[in-house]
Amino acid sequence: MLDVRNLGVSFGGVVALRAVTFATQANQITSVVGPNGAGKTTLFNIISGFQRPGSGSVSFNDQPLIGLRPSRIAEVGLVRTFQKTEVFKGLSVERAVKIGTACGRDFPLWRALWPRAIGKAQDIARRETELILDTCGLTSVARKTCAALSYGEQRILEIALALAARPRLLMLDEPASGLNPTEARLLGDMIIKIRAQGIGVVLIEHNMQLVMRVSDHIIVLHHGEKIAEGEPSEVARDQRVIDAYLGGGDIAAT
Amino acid sequence: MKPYPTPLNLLLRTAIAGVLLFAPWLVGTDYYLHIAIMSLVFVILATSLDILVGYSGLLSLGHTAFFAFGAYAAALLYLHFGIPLWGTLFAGGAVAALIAWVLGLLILNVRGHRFVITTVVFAECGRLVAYNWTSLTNGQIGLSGIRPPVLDIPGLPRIDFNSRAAYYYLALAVATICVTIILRIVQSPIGWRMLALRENERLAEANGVNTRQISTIAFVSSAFFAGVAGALYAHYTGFISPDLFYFSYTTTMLIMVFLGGKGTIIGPVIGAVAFTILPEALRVTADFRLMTFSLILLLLVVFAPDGLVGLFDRLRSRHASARKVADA
Repeated sequence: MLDVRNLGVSFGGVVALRAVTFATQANQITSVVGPNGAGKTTLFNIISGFQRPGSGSVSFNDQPLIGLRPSRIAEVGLVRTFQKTEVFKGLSVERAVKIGTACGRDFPLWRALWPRAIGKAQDIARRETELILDTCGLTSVARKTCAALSYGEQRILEIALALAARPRLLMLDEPASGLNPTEARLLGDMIIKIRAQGIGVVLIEHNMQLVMRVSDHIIVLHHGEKIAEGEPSEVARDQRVIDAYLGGGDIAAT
Repeated sequence: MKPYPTPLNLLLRTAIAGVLLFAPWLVGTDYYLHIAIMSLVFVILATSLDILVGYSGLLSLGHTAFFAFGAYAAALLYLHFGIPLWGTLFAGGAVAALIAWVLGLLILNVRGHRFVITTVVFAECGRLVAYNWTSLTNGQIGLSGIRPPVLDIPGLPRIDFNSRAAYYYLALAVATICVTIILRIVQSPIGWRMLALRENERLAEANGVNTRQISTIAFVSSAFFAGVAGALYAHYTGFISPDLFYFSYTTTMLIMVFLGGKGTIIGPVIGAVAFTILPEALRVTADFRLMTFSLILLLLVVFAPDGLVGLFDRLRSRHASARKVADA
């Protein structure tokens, strides 16, 4: 599905990523973990088109992505969320998701003049919105303003907005940061539910309990290099991973 | 989804439609018809600016430039090639849209104060061109003799748009068509994408909105309708000058959008009518006219931050909740 090869980038002499190579499978949850500053978000920024790499290639179902603008990459089916919560603050939840469903769908200007086109688009958007709000458990707050939601709800809303763009691969950047254990568990359920819908997930996350629970495959970055990858149990036993994280100690326990 | 209109609502709509349709009989004098026609020109200007400022969140302080370019295009096409209003309305819009597209290539990758400043500078550049390219624009003297058309369809009575009443109906028709199209644009998925751009550009782009493309659509379409308004204005007054580029025109349009209620279309429509009529109505205060006008603006800014539409909404919801209490 997603194929990252030899990705490298540096900022003024500081190497952020060095020859990172990995691939994800459809219908799998792939987690990218590593200490702060390991290059995880930079990796996301490059894959989603917000940053250019120094070297290497990224392709999605054999389509090269480097050089495409983020909106085009989203259209191809790769949608990301951000580490710092980003929602359509001034709109109601329902309206925000409804707008989200229209974001990636082509609608040329002349069609706005076509009598029935708007009604049809409205109907489709309304149906999709209901479904997404239901999947994410946001139906009860649908009429609230996005900014009025609790922090945890806003993080869920972000994922709802990403789902509205109809991704084939969803990339979540630290979705559990700032969530309490209960919320984090619900988030885990939701991520598994998303996979069950046939959407692949790439997850950047520090909450190891969550990562160990949901991941099919884990990639460990340290100082911009991939130091390990494999199934959760394998990675947890890897000596280099343990060293990178705590200089000792059990990764599964953190 | 669409609320069924209440009898009161229906009555109100009929009344508004009635006033609009029979205005020439109701107001009689040319002076009032002049105000009505100028209101309609500003309705097009304010609603077109709302696409940009209200829906897309791009604050342009150069909107009057597109109004002026439309007016100049119409005037030149009429004076040199004898193209009547029917052609210049569209041509004025098209020229303004083309200029906006080229300008957009240059400035639509900047945001915030840098975008705002470039739009101001652009309008000023336009004024200098109109002022100094005397062989084409006649400079400061301006262009005159831009006549309204005479409609001569065989079998029908001849309509001379030189009459104020006839031009009023023409302006009403053009404004209605423009506002309808603008309304359809902002209510379609294109308008939703504009809202996404306004609310959070980074998120919009990540979710599949080509923010470059949608800001171009907003910029060009808003310029198009401003150009149409320019052509309508040029054929009405028959005379245009570089003064059309003045910042005060932009300010007027922004007052209409903001104090009418930005991002609503109906707000700028109400704003355009209200703030064309108000300065005229305030003539009764003689020397205190501008002072009173400023005071009213100030009070509105303080007490109706969401514009007249926001004020109506607030009053209505208060009324509704009061009624609910009474019912309980």
